[in-house]
Amino acid sequence: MPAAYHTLQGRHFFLPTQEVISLEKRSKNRLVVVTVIILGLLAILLYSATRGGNNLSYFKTVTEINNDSTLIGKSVRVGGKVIPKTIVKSGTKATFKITDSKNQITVTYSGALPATFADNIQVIAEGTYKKKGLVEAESLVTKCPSKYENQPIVTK
Amino acid sequence: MMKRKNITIGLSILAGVLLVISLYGIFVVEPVLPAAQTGFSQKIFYWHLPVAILSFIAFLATLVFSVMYLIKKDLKYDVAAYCSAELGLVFGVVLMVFGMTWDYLAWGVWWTWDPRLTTYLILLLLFGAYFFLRSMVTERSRQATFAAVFGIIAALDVPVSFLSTRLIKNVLHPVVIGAKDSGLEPSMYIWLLLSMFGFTALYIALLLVKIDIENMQDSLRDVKDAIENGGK
Repeated sequence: MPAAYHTLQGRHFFLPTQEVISLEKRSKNRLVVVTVIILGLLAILLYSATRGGNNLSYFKTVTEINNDSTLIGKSVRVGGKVIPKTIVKSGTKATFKITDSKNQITVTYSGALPATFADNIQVIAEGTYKKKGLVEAESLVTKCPSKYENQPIVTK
Repeated sequence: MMKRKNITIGLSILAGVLLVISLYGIFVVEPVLPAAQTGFSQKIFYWHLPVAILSFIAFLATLVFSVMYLIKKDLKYDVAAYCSAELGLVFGVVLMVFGMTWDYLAWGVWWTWDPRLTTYLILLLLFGAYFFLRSMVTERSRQATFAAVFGIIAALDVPVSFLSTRLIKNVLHPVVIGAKDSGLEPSMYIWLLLSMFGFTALYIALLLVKIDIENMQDSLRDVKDAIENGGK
């Protein structure tokens, strides 16, 4: 059987050529097995994440919060549109109502309001769900639109 | 080789021209949008999206080259994978600067743990670890094999990050192209496409240059090794 020096993954071996071919085959098989395992795990992960009617979400809607009294006293993240003329500022504290066009909820927040905060702006408030209809926010983020349209307004 | 050099120069010039034209369109032709559409800071969008897509493409190219290396065991694929990963990281850091500036202006915070931001940060950290792993292994073919396997696993976060805004509902990060209630004014697509082509040309040109540099460094190292071994 012909034998020679072979390099396998950086190491040198003095082996019959036939042996080397089977070693290379083995390392390729191992690669296929590992790949299949990783892809399988990913598929399971994706399946479990999207199962049950896509209930994966970053923030809850106002209706979801209002309909779930088990959330009272817990920390929540709620998103909705600021209802015009509901913003009341007293000192550093701001109170306003947000809606998902079905239900509404009152949000209190003490801290610097984002520069873009205004009527009809989508906000996401993170804080404690105090009682039905009231969220005490610790952080407030405004959500930007995903539609950009030209309008004849050129103001800074 | 001469021809390849010409391609690199041509692509670089093309990238420069396209990006300058896109800047003209973004800042001179297009009006400033109203504050509700994030105002002046919306102009970040035209470069934010192409840079994001190119970083994804760069990491996916690393995945493809890594698979090629594991099949063919040819170091030229490892060099290409390494160079593309480096460009992906550069585009990624630029993207983070754009993104964080914009989300400070539009959302009111520098950082938030939105699914897209979180999965993208993980992607950058994984590729940071990719370079760390490479530096830990000196033996060339073992380095290439380890890097290829790790590069493939790291790049699997690209589809995860891409789909994070689409599969998870009620996320903060917007989906502008191809979602309900989203989109652009037709004229805006022109500047977006110009910057997209510009950054694509830039990526290919930089990849070719970077691969040449790596190959030169490899030959230099071989010469050095030969001199050192010859002296003993």
